[in-house]
Formats: sequence, C-alpha cells, structure tokens
Amino acid sequence: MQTPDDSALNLDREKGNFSYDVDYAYDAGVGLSEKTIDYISEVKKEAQWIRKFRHDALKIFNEKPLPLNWAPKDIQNVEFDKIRYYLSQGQMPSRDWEDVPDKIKETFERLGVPEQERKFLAGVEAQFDSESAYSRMKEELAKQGVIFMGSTEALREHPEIFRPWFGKVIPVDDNKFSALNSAVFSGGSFIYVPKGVKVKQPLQAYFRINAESFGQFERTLIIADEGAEVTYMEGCTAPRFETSTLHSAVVELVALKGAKIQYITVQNWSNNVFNLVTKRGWAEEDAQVRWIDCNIGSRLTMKYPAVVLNGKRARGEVTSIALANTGQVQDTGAKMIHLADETTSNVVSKSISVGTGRATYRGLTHMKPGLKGCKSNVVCDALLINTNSRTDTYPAINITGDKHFVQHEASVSKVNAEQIFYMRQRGIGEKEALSLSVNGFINELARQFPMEYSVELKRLIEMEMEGSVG
Amino acid sequence: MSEGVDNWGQWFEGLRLRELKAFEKAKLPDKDDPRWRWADAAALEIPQMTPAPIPAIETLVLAKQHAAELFENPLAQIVFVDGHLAAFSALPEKWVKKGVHFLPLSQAKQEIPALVAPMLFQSIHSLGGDPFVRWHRAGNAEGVFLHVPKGVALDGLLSVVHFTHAQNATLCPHALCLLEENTQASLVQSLHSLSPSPAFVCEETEIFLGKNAALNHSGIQNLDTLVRCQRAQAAVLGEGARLRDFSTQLGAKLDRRECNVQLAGARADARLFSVGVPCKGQCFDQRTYQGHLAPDTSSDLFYKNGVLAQGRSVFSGMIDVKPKAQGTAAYQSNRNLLMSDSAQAVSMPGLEIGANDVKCSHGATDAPIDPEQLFYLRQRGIGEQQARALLLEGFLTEVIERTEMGELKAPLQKLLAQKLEGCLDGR
Repeated sequence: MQTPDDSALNLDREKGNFSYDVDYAYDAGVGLSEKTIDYISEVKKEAQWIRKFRHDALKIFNEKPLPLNWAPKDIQNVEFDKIRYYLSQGQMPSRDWEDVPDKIKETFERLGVPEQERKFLAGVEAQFDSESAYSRMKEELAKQGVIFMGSTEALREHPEIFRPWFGKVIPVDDNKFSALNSAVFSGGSFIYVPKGVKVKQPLQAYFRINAESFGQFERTLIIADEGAEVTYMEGCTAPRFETSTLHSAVVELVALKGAKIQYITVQNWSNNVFNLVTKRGWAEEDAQVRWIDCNIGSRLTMKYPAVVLNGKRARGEVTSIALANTGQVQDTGAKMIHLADETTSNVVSKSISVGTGRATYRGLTHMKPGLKGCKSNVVCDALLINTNSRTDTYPAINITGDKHFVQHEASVSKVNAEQIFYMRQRGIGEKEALSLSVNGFINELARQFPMEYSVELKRLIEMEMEGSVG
Repeated sequence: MSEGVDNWGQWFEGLRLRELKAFEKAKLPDKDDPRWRWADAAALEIPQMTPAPIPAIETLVLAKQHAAELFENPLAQIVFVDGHLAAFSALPEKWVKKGVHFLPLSQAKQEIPALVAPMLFQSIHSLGGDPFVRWHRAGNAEGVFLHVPKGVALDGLLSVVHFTHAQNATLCPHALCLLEENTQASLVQSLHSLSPSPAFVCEETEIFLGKNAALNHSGIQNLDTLVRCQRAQAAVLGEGARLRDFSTQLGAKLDRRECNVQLAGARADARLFSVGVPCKGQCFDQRTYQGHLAPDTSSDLFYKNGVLAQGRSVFSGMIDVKPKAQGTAAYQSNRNLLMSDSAQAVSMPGLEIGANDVKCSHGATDAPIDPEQLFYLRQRGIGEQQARALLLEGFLTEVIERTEMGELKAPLQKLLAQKLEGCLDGR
C-alpha cells in the first residue's frame, strides 16, 4: 500500500492550498482590452500574424454571447473585467531546475514536480500563472526529433510545424471561451512527435495558478505524425482565494495516419476556479485519440472532450470520472463527430454527486450522411450519495444512414444498501464501507489511469467523501 | 372562478381572449431554445389562422362512413371534419345515468359549463410548443369533453376522429379528460384526412387523473402528407393514478408531438409508448417529459421509430425527478431502425435527477435491419421488399404488444400495412 508521500503527484487539495507573494516582472493589469493583447504580444515579442490572430479573437469573444440557453447558470458569475490576464516573472522557461526562481521552485517542489520527472517522465513542463517556469525533456527524445516546448517558443521556433494546425482543430469562433483563449493565450505545451516515433514514457505538464483573480489561458497543441505515439498528462492546482479565478484552456490534438495520442487530465483546481476548457482531437485514417479525464476540483467545470474522426477506421475514446461535492458543478461529457467510414467511438463516463454537488453528462454523437460502417457506444453511470445530490444526463445523437450501430445508455443509482450492510456486518465502519463501495463504482475506470494517478484518485475520493455519511 | 356566472358564453369568450392576448405577448419559438434543438425549421413557423367553412353534407357523410370503419363497436364516437361536427354516436344510456359525460366540447360548454370551465385550458405544457397552445386556445378549439365521475369504470372504447378536408384549413382539435377517483376509461383520438390538401392541425390534449383513476389514451395520426401538425398533450396524475399513453405517427409532412406527464401523486404510474414510421420527406418530432413530483412514482417510456428513405425522426425526452420524489423508478428507451441511407434519426434522451433513492435509466439505439434476419427470410423465398416490411412490422409490433391495448392492434396493423405499401417501394 502506497502512502500519500510516496505517490508521484501530490494531488491533495490541501497540499496545493498555499501561495507566495511573487514580484511579477510582467503584469497586464486587470480587465481585457486591445491594450491587454498588445501588451501580451509585446512581452512575448510575437510575430505579426499571432498579434492579428489575437485581435480577431478578441472581437469574436466580445460579440459571442454566453451560452445561457443551455449552460449552467453559474457561468454568468465569471467577472471578465476583474480578471488579470497575464502575469509572469519572465518569459523564458528554465532548462535547469537550479535556474528556476526560488519561490516558484519552492512551489513546484512542494507539489513534487522534479521528483516526478526523475521518477518516470520523459519530459515535464511546469507552468506558473501565465508562463512556463521550467521545461525539460530527456535528451534521447530530442535526438529523435520530438519537440516539447511552450506555446510562445514553439510558434517562434517551429512555425512551419505548428502554424498549419494552430487554431484549426478548434476554430477561434468555436465558442466564447475558445475565442477568449485565442485572444490572451499564454503558456501550455506544444508537442511534435515525428513519423513512427513512439514515446514510451508520458510527457507531463503541470499547471499552477498562484495569483488571486488571475486567469490562466494555456494553449496546447500536440501533433503526432504518421504512426507516432505519445501519452501526455496534465495536473493542475490553485490555492483557495476569496475571489474566483478563471482557467480557460484550448487543447488541440492532431493524430495523423495511424498515430495514437492519449491525453490524461487530473483536474483538482480549488473550489473557486471556473474551469471552462475546450478540448478536441483530430484523427486521420487509422489514428486513435483517447481522452482520459478526471474532474474532482473547481467550482464550475464545463468540458466536453471531442474527437473528430476524419479518416477511415479512426477511433475516438473518452474515459471520464467526475466527482461533484457541495458547491461544485461538474458539467462534463464527450463529443464524437464521425466524418469517415468505419470510424468507431467509445465513451465511458462515471460521476459521483456528494452533498448538494451536481454532476452532468452532456454529449454528442454525430454521423454525417453518406457514411457506412460506423459504430458508437456511450455508457454513463451516475452515483448519488446524499438525498439532495443531483445528476443530469443530456446526450444528443444524430445519425443518418442504415449502415451504422449506435447505442447510448445511462443509469442513475444510489449506493447499494445491501453492499453497505454486507460490509458493516463484517465489521467494516460505515465511512470505510461507503468509500469502498464508491471506489468499487469507479474502479473499472480508475484502473485505466497510470498507477500513480489511480492511487491518488482513490485517496482523493476517500477524502471528498469524508463527512458525507449520515 | 366560475361561481355564479350568468352568461357562460361570455365567460368562455373572455377565456379565449385572455389566451389571444397571451399569444400576442408570447415569445415565438426560437431555434436556439434547446427545446427546439434539431427541429425542422418549418416547425417554428406559426401560420395565419384560417378556419374552414362548414363542409358539404356529402363530405360529412363520407367522414361518418370512414370513421365507422376505424374501430369495431366503439362505446361512443364523435367525428369532426375541419373542426365541424360530422357525427356523434352518444354513450349508451346506462353510462349517462351514472353521470359520465362524453360530448363535443362546444356542446359541453353549453350544457355543463360549470363542469368544463374550471379545467379548460388549465394545462401547463412547457415543452417548447406553448405559443402554439395559446394560438390553439385563441382559435376555434373544438373536440371532446370527457368526464368520468367517482367510482365509474367504463368498459369500452371512446373514439374521437378529426378529418382535414378543405384546402389550407387550420384545425384546433381539443380534448379535455377529467377522470375522478377510482375510475377507468379508454380514449382514442384519431387524425385523418378526407382529401389530399395542405392543412395545419394544432392540437391540445388535457388529461387530469384523480386518485386511482386509470386512463388508456391513444393518438393515431394518419394525416395526408401535405398536412402539418403541431400537438401538445399534458397529463397530471393524482395519487395511485395510471396512464397508458400510446401515440402512432404515420401521416403528415411534419408532426411535432409534445407529451408532458406530471406524476403529482404518490405511487402514480405512467407508461408511454410510441411508434413512428417517417418516410419521403416526413419529419416526426417527439418531445416528452416524465415529471416525478411525488414519492414512489414510476414511469416507463418506450418509443420506436422505423425510419424509411428520406424520413426523419427526432426524439427528445426528459426524466425529471424532483427532490421530494424518493423511491422513483423511471425508464426511457428510444429505439430507431434506420431502413435507408437517407434515413435520419436524432435522439436526445435526458435525465435530471434530484433525489438519490431512485432507479433511473435511459437508452437509445440506432441500427439498420439485421442482415442475418433478412437473409433468413430471403432464403425462404420471401422477396426483399416483403422481408424488409416484415422485419419492420416485427420491430414495431413489440410496442403495440406492450401497450396491452388489444382493441387497437388490428386497426393499427391495417394502417401500418397501408403506410408501408406506399413507402417501401422505390427505395
């Protein structure tokens, strides 16, 4: 049995509940205007086309209304003009741990980032507020041509690789928050894996919000060239501030012919973070994109990882676990867009609502006309712990043609009283029995996370469940 | 509200005018409204009200003849053409003596206004079609009033038939069903066409079931394919009440049917069934709501569509379990058989669960005809066309069987066979 201290990543929210006073060298101030964008662009010394991209995006952001016709009502409480859009101590990430400014180093050391890297990662990128503070990748990967760097650096050094796909999987005007991210993006990881290269160990990014009323807008683009394989993991924490914080990322994955991308997220933001994220993968012929997504933290999460199945026999998968405790809304789901023959998709989602928490599954399965041999399977199960816990399911399935098989099923239940009775009868305490039962509910999915994460996940769920009995 | 009214004519006119005002103020259907998601654009338009004139005698006679062929020996039947009464075979005396009312709505408003007034236009629909409901109420709403007093169990089928006839007529078929404590009744509402003319049918059905009341309600829509249809049905179930609701969609160009069920009393139980066979440019849009407001209520929805060439089905359902409704069991299943490359099925099953001691699940499937089953039939010398028709019929018959409304089986199978004959050729 692993104790928390041995685990690779300390995702315990208490561990993340600290912050430092940092003298930021660059601060775009409060609120969002054209000036904010010019400031960010100048600090980053960006090419003209990026500056224009940002300005166009800002216009779209200002024009687009919030999706109030369907979104959780809490989204109205995001105060866009009270947020700080850019904060950094300097825009060049350090290659050497020793060069990282002390206070930032202390932060990540408390969170276990360098240990993590030494243990099992192929590369790590740690973002502190707006910019990467530390970025390193194992040398043999660099020799094989793998690129792993921050968005600013990547667009500057390898525009020929990243520009053709940048903003293509998720167009700027996809939704209000993708437009916002496009206007003020900073940080994130850009990864290119060349043809046939299979990265065996996962690459990892760690996101940390340190400042109050701050918005983090990282931008991630992963391109796996033909036959390449890569696994990417991200984790995130923030201290608990009085005011709310906004995290609005755009993540684009491109899996070219025969490539495989696996993207793992363990989201454990503190309970004042609005987490409004757009994630979408693009899969060409025989490619696979898989999202493994776990949402435990945040005040409101709206996240629907998608896969556009653009090539024959492409496969998209989403495995999702959500835990909504009192004061939290986890509005998550998956979208599968079938645009080619014989494409397949599979979504397995499990959610747990505790106290007055609300977990929602929102999904889309679309098969355009004229295709044949597509298959899609969606299963969502919800577990309600307390009498006033709440869960919703809103799938949408749009199918044309007589050569496809599609199924969706969802179920809602409470903790099995017989299971609890069985365990209690054998001398297991009530809390422990409940926790065992809940862990049993998600076990099948938790096992799919890398070991370190799945152990943490179980422990986190035990913690969140504390005091929920009776 | 209706105490001591001197002039009931005026009172009902006042009610109509209030609905007209509400319609004029109502927000029109909006494509961004999730309740209209993936609806046909044409479904959002509200046409001009153009009631048809009283049909010629021979038309009324024809309608009466057609209606007589629909069901074997209904207990009572009311027939309308373009909203005008064509035939009325009243309830046998025995039931009238027990206080049962089954009358054309206009007649009921004159003869028993104090019974009609408190409940007429009281239903809350809220599945998107509310502006249409206002429009209906402000217009020439005509149909049936059914009232079953305490303790009476009717043992036969009550039938209401509406025919469209005149070019571009607008019809507002209405049904108001009040079943008091410990009662039982079966009502079938049919929509047909006497001529191949465009028309707009805007229907409202209001169902109120008292304690332990049981209603079998079915709607058969077999309108001409030039007709557009917009329907709203709302049922409120009291303690221990039972509703069996069965909808069949065969005709019309565009038929949107909203079905709202409120399980307001403990142990109320609703079973909702539907079969739809859209083809050749037809769109059947089904929006349902299973509202669990009280403890130990149960509901089970089973909707099947056999979608043929250029047909489109849209199903959107919601199971809403309120925090008070502990002990709920709610199910929802939408199965679509896609029979052609150009067949489209949209499915949006939904759950909103606010109580934890519940059993709730939903499922949706889309699949083609099983090639092995088809092969089996072909191997035995059955032509492709016929084999496909058989498999579709088998697929839909499962629903008809589960409704346990035996009296409808033969009439429905006849209508279904007619429909398939017209649709399956030239696939």
